[in-house]
Parts: sequence; C-alpha cells; structure tokens
Amino acid sequence: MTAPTLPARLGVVPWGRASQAALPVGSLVALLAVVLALEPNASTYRGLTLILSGSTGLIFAALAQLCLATLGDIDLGVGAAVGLANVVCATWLTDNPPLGVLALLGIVAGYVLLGLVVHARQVSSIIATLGASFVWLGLGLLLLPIPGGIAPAWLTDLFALRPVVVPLPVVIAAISAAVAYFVFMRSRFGLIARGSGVSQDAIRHSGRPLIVTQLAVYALAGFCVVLSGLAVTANTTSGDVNASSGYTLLSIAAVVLGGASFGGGRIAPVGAVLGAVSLTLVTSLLAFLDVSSDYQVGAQGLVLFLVVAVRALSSRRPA
Amino acid sequence: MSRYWRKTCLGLVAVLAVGSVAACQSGDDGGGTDTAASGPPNIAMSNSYDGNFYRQTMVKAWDLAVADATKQQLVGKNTVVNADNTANTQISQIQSMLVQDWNAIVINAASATALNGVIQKACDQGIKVVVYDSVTTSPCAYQVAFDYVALGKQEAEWVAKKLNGKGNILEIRGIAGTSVDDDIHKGIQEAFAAYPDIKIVGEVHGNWTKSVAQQAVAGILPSLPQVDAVVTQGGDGTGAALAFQAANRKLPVIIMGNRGDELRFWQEQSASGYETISSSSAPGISSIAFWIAYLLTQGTEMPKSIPGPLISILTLDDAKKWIEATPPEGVATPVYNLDYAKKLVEAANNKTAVPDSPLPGDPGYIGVYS
Amino acid sequence: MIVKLSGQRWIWVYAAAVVVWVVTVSAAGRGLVSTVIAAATVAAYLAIVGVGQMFVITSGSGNIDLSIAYVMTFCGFVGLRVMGGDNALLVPGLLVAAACGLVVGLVNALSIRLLRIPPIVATLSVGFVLLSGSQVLAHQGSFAPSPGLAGFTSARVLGIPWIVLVGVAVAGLAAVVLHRTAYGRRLQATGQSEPAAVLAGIRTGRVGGSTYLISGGSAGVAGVLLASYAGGAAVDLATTYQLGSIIVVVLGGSLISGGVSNVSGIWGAALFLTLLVTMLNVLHVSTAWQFIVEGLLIIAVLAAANPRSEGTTVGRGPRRG
Repeated sequence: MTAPTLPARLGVVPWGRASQAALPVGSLVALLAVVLALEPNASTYRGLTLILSGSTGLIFAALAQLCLATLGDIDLGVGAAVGLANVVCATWLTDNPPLGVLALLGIVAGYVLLGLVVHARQVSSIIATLGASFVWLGLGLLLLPIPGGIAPAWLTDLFALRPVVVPLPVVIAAISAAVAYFVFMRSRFGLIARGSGVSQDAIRHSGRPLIVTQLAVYALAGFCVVLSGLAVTANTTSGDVNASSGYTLLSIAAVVLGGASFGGGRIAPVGAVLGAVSLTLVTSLLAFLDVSSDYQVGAQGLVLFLVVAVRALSSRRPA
Repeated sequence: MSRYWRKTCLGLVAVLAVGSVAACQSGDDGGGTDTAASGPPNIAMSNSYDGNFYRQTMVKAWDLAVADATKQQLVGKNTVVNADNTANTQISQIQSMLVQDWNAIVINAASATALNGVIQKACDQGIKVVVYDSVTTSPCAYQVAFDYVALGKQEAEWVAKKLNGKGNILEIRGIAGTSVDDDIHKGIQEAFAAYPDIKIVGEVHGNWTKSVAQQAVAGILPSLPQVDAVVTQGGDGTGAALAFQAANRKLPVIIMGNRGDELRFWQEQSASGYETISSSSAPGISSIAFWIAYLLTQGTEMPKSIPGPLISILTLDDAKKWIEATPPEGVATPVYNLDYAKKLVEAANNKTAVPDSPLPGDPGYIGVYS
Repeated sequence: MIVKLSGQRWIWVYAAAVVVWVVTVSAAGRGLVSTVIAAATVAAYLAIVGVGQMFVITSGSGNIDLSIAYVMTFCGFVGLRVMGGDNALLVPGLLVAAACGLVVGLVNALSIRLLRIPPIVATLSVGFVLLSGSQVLAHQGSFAPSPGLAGFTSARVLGIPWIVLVGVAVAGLAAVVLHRTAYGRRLQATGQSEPAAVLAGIRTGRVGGSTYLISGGSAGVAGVLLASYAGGAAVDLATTYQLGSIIVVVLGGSLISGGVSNVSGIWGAALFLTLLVTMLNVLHVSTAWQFIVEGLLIIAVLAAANPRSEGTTVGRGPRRG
C-alpha cells in the first residue's frame, strides 16, 4: 500500500541500526553524568524538574525545525515565530481566549503560506523563513511593544503539574518523542514527506499531489511553533517577543545533534528531542562549571563542537 | 584497527576530555556544600549578556567588589554566569542555580517580565533576589534601578536650552522592544514636548553599538536637512560623529554616553569650542547590587526599590578627570563600596536624594581600570 | 538556461534597490546621489563578506559559514593590535588580519571535512570560541586604527569612496575566479553534484574546504576595515553580518543548494538592504512596521526573481544524501 519506488536510502535513518540509535542517547547520558557529578542535588525529582523545565519549549521548536528539515528546508525564523506565539499567549489568549486561539491558528496559517511561497514558487527556504522572521518579530512588537502580559492561569497550572516518580519535563519529552516518531517514521504521511525531501520525482510518480504533503508539513511545523510558544509562556509567565530568539540556532543544533542532515529526507525525530534536552543540559553545565566570564561562550562552543564531533566520528556513514 | 573502532576511540577520548574538565571542577567545589548555613553568604550573579564594553565593565566592577568582600571574609562561594541575551537561556541558568545552595542571586535581566516565574521560585526557596540595571517587574525581588526616563529627559532638556528652543534633532535609539530604549525615548519625547520649535527630523536604531549607529546615521544623513543636535542612548555618540565627519557635514551637538572614546572625542573637539554633555547609567551598579545582596543576607531592612546613581558629566573638567580614569574601550564608573551601598539604603529608607557618586580622585573612589 | 535565469535575478534585485532609492529620495526631497553613495559605503563591507559566503554556499548544499561575524570582530581586534595606531604597520596589520581569517577558515574546513561536523554547527562553535577570544583581547588595552587606514575608509576619489571601489574590485576578482579559472569550474561542478564531480576526477574535499579559507580571509580583511571605519574594534563590531552575509548571497541570485552563483547580484542585494533601512528610517515608519515591511519585501523580491516555470533541478538544486 505504501508509495512504490522510494529510494532505498530512506531506510537509512539513525534508528535503523542499534549502533546509530545509541549516539544521541550516548551524548545525552554523558552530559547528564557530568552535570550530576558536578551537582549531585540535580539528581533529585525537584532538581531534574528545575534543570530540565527549560527544555520543553526547545523540544517543540526543534520539532518545528525537524518538520522543515524533512523536506530539505531550513527555518531561520523559528525563534521569532515562537516569540510571536509567546506574545499572543500572554496577551490575547489570557484576555480573550477565542481571539487568542484564532491568532495562534493564524500562525499555523502563516506557516502554510510560507510553505506555499517556498514550494509553489521555488523560493529558497532559508531566505523565505528569514524574511518571515522579520514579519513575526514586527507583529509581536505591534502586539506587545515592550515585555509584559501575563500567562493564562490554566497554562501555568498545567506546567506546574507534578506527576509521580517521573518529572514533568521528562514526561513531555518522552511523549513528544514517541508521537514524532510515529508521525514521521511509521505513518504513510511521514513516509511521503521524507520521500519528497529525498527525491521529488519519486513522489510525483506515486500519484499524490506533492504540494499537499509539503503544506501539511509546514502546517505541522506551525503547530509545533504554537506548542513551543505555549511552553515558553508557561516558563516565563509573560510575553516577550525577544525571549526565544536563541531558539533559531539552538533548534538547528538540536536537529543536527539528533542525527539528521539538512539535505532532506534523513531525519531522526527521537534524536531531535534528545538533542534539545542535551542542549538544555549544556546550559546547566555552564552554570555549574565555574568558568570565567570571558571564556563562557567559548566553552559552550567547545562543548557543542565535541558532542557533535563524537557523534559524527562514531558514525560510519560518510558525511 | 578498523576505521569504525578508530573513530569510536576518538569519540571516547573526546567524551573523557569533557568529563575530566568537569571532574576537576567538581573537586574544587566539593567541600563547599554545607558552609552555606553558618559561614559568609554565597552570592551568584546571572548576567543576561556579556557582549559589549558596558556589560564587560559591569562584570569587572562586580569582580572587584567580590574581591573586596573576599578580603574582608564577607562572602563565601560566588560566581558569574552569562546568558546569550535571551530570557529562555537565562531562565535555564537561574533554574540550575536553584539546585545549588546560593543565599542570594543577583540578576541583570534579559527581559522585564520573562524572569518573574523563576524569580518567584527562588524567593519561595528563601533566596534573596536582587535585580539591577535591566530590572524585572517581579514583586518579590529587590530592584536597584536606574531612572532611564530621567536620563532621556536630562539630555533633551540640555539640548533644548543649548539650541535656545529651536532646531532639528536626530534621535539615535537603542535595541527595539527593550524597556531601556522605551524609557529613554519616553524621557526625550516628554522633554521636547515643551519646545514646539524643536523638531525630530530623523530617528534610527543604533543598538547601543558604535558601528551599527555609524552605518545607520551614514545611511540617513543625505536625506536629512541640517541637523543641530543628536540625542543618543550611550555607545553610539562617536559612531554618529564619524558619520557626520565622513559626509563632510557640520558637526552637531552630540550627547555623549560616558564611553571612554566618547569622552576623548569631546575633549578633542573642545579645542575648537565644541560644547556638549555626557551622561549614562553607571555600569558599576553591579557592585551596588552585590553589596545590597550582601546586606539582605545579613537581615538589613530596606524598601523593594533602590534608585541607582546616574553619572552626568556636565563640564569639560569633569570629563578630563574621567578620561584619566577610563580607557577608550571602557565606560566611566566607579566601583562602589559597602559604605556607599549603606548610604543608598539609608537614603531609600528616608526617601532622600541618591548620594553623589564619587568622582575620580574623591575619597572613597575605587577605579575599575586602575 | 542558467545564465539567462541568473540574468533575470540580477535585474530584479537591482530594480528593487532603484525603487527603494527613488522612494527614499522623493520622501526626503534631497540627496539624489549622496543617498546612494552613503548606502554604497555601508554596503561595501556587506558585499565583501557576502562574496566570501558565496564561495562557501556555491560549494554545495549544506555548506554555510556562520562564523563570519565573529571572524570579522576577532581579526579586526588582531589587525588593529598589530597596527597599534601606527601608519608604518598598516600593511603588516592588514596581512595579519587576512592570515587570521585564513587560519580560522582552515579550522572550519578541517572540522567539516575531517571531523565530519555539519557546517552549521562547526562554524557556529568555532565562532563562539572566537567571541571568547575577542572578549579576552578587549580587556588588553587600546585598539586604535592606523590613521592612514581610518582615513582611507572614508576617503573618496572622484566622489566615489575608496571602500566602494575595493568592494567592487573584490566582486570583480571573485567573478573572474569563478567563471574564468579551472578552480571556479571545479567549484561549480562540486556544488552542482558532488558525486558527478568525484567521477570527473575533481578532489571535491579540497575544493569545498578551500572555500572556507576564502570566506575566512575576506571576513578578516573586512573586519579590520570595518574596525578602522568605526574608529576602533569592539566585541559587538560585526553582529549584524552573521545573517546579513547569507541574505545578500541568496537575494543576489545564488542558489543556497550550491552550484549556481551570481557575483553582481551580491552588490545589488547589499545596496537594496542598506537603502531599505534608510527608506524605512526616512519614512518614519514605526519599528514594528519596519520589521514587517522589510520581511515582506525580502520575500517578495525573491519570489519575483524566481520564475515559476523552472523545474526542480534548477529551482531546488540537486540533492545528496
């Protein structure tokens, strides 16, 4: 029933072989071990909740990035888009929930429009999304010129939930990894999306209008952006369009760390989630390592470099 | 050895390298965990950004105050952690601090509101929180805040008087969407509102950065009529001046922002009768925030909001004193000591004026750069 | 066909620049020529680093240099340090800044080719390390430019700023290297299809890696020039160039997937972006609307420059696994 004649290399995803599956897990475990060695208090339920609660927003931003990576595109506007979603959540969603929901759907629609520009008019995604990032930022500033607003009470309560045994950020990471895995790696939709990232011709021959799938992937990215905006709003309790600007590069790093390439088709949803968690741990690591002020950003660069070098070198496939 | 194993080994070596750096580090801090209750307080700083001269001067002033406190055995563990100027990263860092045993956390915030949640968590845990410079609206934190509206008002008032209430103004603004930019802009607008013949003919964003300001001004200059004065936000003064000079335009009155190069430019130009003023917030405020945090851990009572000292350099003589004490890539500021912090708290308690910030050479003046 | 297509893109971005220029000048009612000269002075630095970025992007899908802004700042510091405000050391300072950029480019190339680190991550982490380096240098005393070089960056010949001539010369040189030399042809072949280039006997690793040296070297020189123009180096000297260098390449008509590059388009895009900022400033548009208009115009220019009829192979470039 699945689409015929898909290139064989679609099967070569980092979950096809146990040795490759171990890579993102390995770097996460190594980072966690270092963090816990530095600060044993972090191993408690409360400690893990604290050091990982920043990861939720980044996980969804990374998944949004992953959606575009599936098609071989790249999103340089994800940080600004999350910022806009954050601002909408802290203003309209609190004061006037129907309007807020409508505006959030508007962001999803914006992503569909972006998909249309990129794929119907063959515009380079890197510039289309960069242009869009200015638009997101401007809209966010129109809505909330300086930081302010307040998170809806239900949202703050939701993220204050304390499930038994496993901390909430870990639960969210596990669920989103599982859902992303099934959507991208096990569903027919995911197969076609990945296929179109590798070879558009192959998918065309499968007799399905390609653009529909591509737009659906962009809509899914927009949906992940909204989820990320909700998580950021809960974490920051307010709205600030600039609060998430770092997510653009961090989400790309998370996707790469997870084992995907931006060449299209070859993605690793679970790896991207683990990558986002790893990057949050790097932030904690820097807080725990008593590095002198001038050297901190360099240390972050080195850690990122080493983690990715380890992943790339222990993988046997050519880059 | 196969290619695969060689690479795996390389990878392992890299992991071990990261691990061993970390292990050394944990050895240093290992014993310090139970001193919190009895010994001197442990004080951490979370700094949203470290990437310009103003913020670097700020960190330097903090380090000097901490060194002073360490000598007097007033502080235990201490650290400075820099974020990437985004609230999300800074929140993660402060949340990491919450699993450690800090008695006080001092914050220069990336956002006026985004840190409120994590600050509340810290307060609930019994940690004293002091926010300074770029402050937050959190009700439980103590603020050491500059009155940036007053800063904008002061420079605009001076310009309006200097131009006898009539002239064309170019306004250079900071980073869009920040409270500091908004406040200074508001002060400037309020002051100019009283002068109908003062016209703001152009507005550009210089992002408090010399090269950005210089390029933005260079771009807009050909479209502008004669400019009589430029109001600024600090860090952008010489950039604007260079743009005017390169375009062969008459140098307007440019308000300077206490950067070493800006003060030197003023001094050079004064030879040909050029007059201006320079004013900015004092990056040494980090040392005040440090001492306020110390006083809070010692149980000192104080109001939630402590005003920080602005440094206004109104005469060339004062400018020369500051030039002596400030390298070209620095920002004019003293490091404040415990006595000054106590005076500030007293003034805040009695609602009296902010005590004068010491000038270079005054008793009690400690330089950042000496 | 590619040549024809490139020609069209080339025109679009210049047309956009002219429209923005006309709007600016008519809104201001003055400065017909001086506006464009001022914009060209600012655009020159963007064009120089854009040319470097273009070589990297041409070498194939996924290759990109995110370290440019950090290289400019760091090598700006290093170059000014060597000059020490002395005209006699002007040339050594320039050479050291170029060498500094080349070394960083080499580190980038080795990380990507030997350590197999994806270019985005490799160049960004190298950039972070350089940022630390700049911060350390910033604490070590004064960095005044040599007066000769500072004067040069604002001096003019026949009414045209020297720096604009330098930028045009760099672009001209790049065009010659790209279209008239064997190296340029190998580079384009590598970018169009690496497997095919390998079969044709091209050492794609070397060709691809060398582009990072070009990018690093040009960023080093642009950095020391910019620092001299600004009267000294600062840690936040070049922050706007990280994404700016990429925008001008793609707006200028080069394909982000590699293989097709357009040098003259870079200058058009740099002029368009600079004039756009001036126009929005002159029109007194609020900051929020400035961002929105800027974003929409960037997308619109690119969408207009891309004729729909071009198929996958040209529009999206070849894909590699």
